[in-house]
Amino acid sequence: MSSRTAGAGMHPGWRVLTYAILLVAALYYLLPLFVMLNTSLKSLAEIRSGNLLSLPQDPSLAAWSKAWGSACTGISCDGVKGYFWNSVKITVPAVLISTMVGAINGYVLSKWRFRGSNLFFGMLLVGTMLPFQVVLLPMARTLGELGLAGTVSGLIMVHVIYGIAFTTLFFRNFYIGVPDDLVRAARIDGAGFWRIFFRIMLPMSLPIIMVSLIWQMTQIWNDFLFGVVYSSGDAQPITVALNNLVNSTTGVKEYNVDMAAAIIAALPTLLVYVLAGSYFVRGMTAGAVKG
Amino acid sequence: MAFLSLNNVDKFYGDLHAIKSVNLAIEQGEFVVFVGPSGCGKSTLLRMIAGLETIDGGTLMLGGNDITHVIPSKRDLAMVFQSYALYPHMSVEDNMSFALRLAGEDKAVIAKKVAEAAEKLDLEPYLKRTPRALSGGQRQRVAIGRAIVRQPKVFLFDEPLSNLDAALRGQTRVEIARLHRELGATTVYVTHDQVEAMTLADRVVVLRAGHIEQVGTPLELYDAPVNKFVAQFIGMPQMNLIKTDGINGVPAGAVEAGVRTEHMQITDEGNARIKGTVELIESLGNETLIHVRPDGADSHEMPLIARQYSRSELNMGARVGLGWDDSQAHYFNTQGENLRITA
Repeated sequence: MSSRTAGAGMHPGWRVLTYAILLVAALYYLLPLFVMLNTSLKSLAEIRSGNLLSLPQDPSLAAWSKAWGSACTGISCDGVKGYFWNSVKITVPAVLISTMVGAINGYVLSKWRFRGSNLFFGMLLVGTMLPFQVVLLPMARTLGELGLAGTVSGLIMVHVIYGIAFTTLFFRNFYIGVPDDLVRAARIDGAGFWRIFFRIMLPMSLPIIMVSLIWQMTQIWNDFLFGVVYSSGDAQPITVALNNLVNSTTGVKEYNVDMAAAIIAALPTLLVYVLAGSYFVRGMTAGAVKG
Repeated sequence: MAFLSLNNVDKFYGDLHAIKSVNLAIEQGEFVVFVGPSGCGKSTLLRMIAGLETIDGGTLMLGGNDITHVIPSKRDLAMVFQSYALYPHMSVEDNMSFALRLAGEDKAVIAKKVAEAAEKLDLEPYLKRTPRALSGGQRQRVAIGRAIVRQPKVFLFDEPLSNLDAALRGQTRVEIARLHRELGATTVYVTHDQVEAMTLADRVVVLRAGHIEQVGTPLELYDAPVNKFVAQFIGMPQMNLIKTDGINGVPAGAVEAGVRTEHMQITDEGNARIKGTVELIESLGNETLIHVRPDGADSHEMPLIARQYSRSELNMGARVGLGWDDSQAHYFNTQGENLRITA
């Protein structure tokens, strides 16, 4: 609404300038992606001879199929596909579990307060400010004790624990905006703790569920540190595999394969933003603006 | 034995004694209104009856059963909330039938009950809509419908009209009165609006700071308030309060006189009980409110107001006298008690 009226009384010259600046900014941000795509479609010879920005003379997906299926990551040469599926196997359950737990936490902390619940929430908030590095050692110890060191399940657990602080914050702040009378009405109508959650609260939570899913998906898919520390060999996520791929060379640096692998690694999060980005913005502002 | 009775009911929030040993007996079919200033505990008391707040002392009886510690949904009562509290993702129909569906009621019975309630409230065209697509008045009717569908023993209303605009409020008030007549259901209604209290109630309960100041029919409260608080709370504009020192012919023990605006008479200065200057004249057409500043009063004190049902010839700044008929005045002692009632 306001964005439409903002330029209404503007001098045409200013508007041209505004759009010019926006265009330059957009190009500036798109440039790396363009270079990556461009390079991934070129042959090595062309990369060595040509300009970084010139379009490929003979576009080919050879680098992509090599990155996916036969590039060397360390000592094995099976491409990134196995690690891509590792990442999927880590990300999907970790995102779903942390979102679910966050929703329940947020529901309790906003609608079923108990003595000390504010303190509890405050302590959870500290979790959002802890740098990854701080928990590395204690977590490694814990995983070892639990017998989960170096496994996909262990990595899922780490991501769930680390993510709960964020997802709880999201849902708690969203549910604070839901009138308490709604819970009271449901109690009088005969719904208990879980029925209110599943039949009243959760169906209203689509915007914040999307925020939580996107946030967690981005965090967990893009995570490198936990992946490199807590997994080994065949259990590693794609971010670690990408690093290994770029760092293991057999004489020649294959920029086109590196670029293709990097795009493959970034594709899921990009897709999520394109498909659900509008929900993300809506969800983030849902608490701030009523209605 | 009363239908719904509160016996020495207490509520504590930590050290705060929020509800102080309240006793109240409500008869079947009665419309009882709780009024009081914000924070007086009227909503808390209602929620304690509903079972949404625990009762920390005393007992609550409904129809001969002790329901002090029964969970809300088993108390056989329904509540209408100020914010409507409609489930935003459900259609009107689903909102109204939610309780019955949770109780596992037969589908045909649910459909019949919803249809009946919808007909009573003119909601038939809107059954498939979500609350978002309804106006404020329609939403409030759905909230009432949700309560009716359950055919409870007691209806509880928590300031149901305060989110509506003035015109709609009047209209919905009439509708609630009609519904109560038709259903004959026992109703407890919380409001801070004394017009709602006066027009809807069989009996009004005036609360202050967690205890009951007075219970009575609306006119009893208006004509015979037991103390200064009730006298000032009921009636708009507020009852005039006049310090009695220096005024002749007041009963012994009285420190303040309370005179309703319509009993305050404007006279010539002459030997009137109070002399003053007209400060403001509010001409409302059907009535005229004349604000008089008594001589010697501080400028931050409330002016005295006389209400008359004829147009006034007076101008601002005119000198006038004020007087009243002692049979229509209330006299309060130092504790604020009405001497006419307590004597």
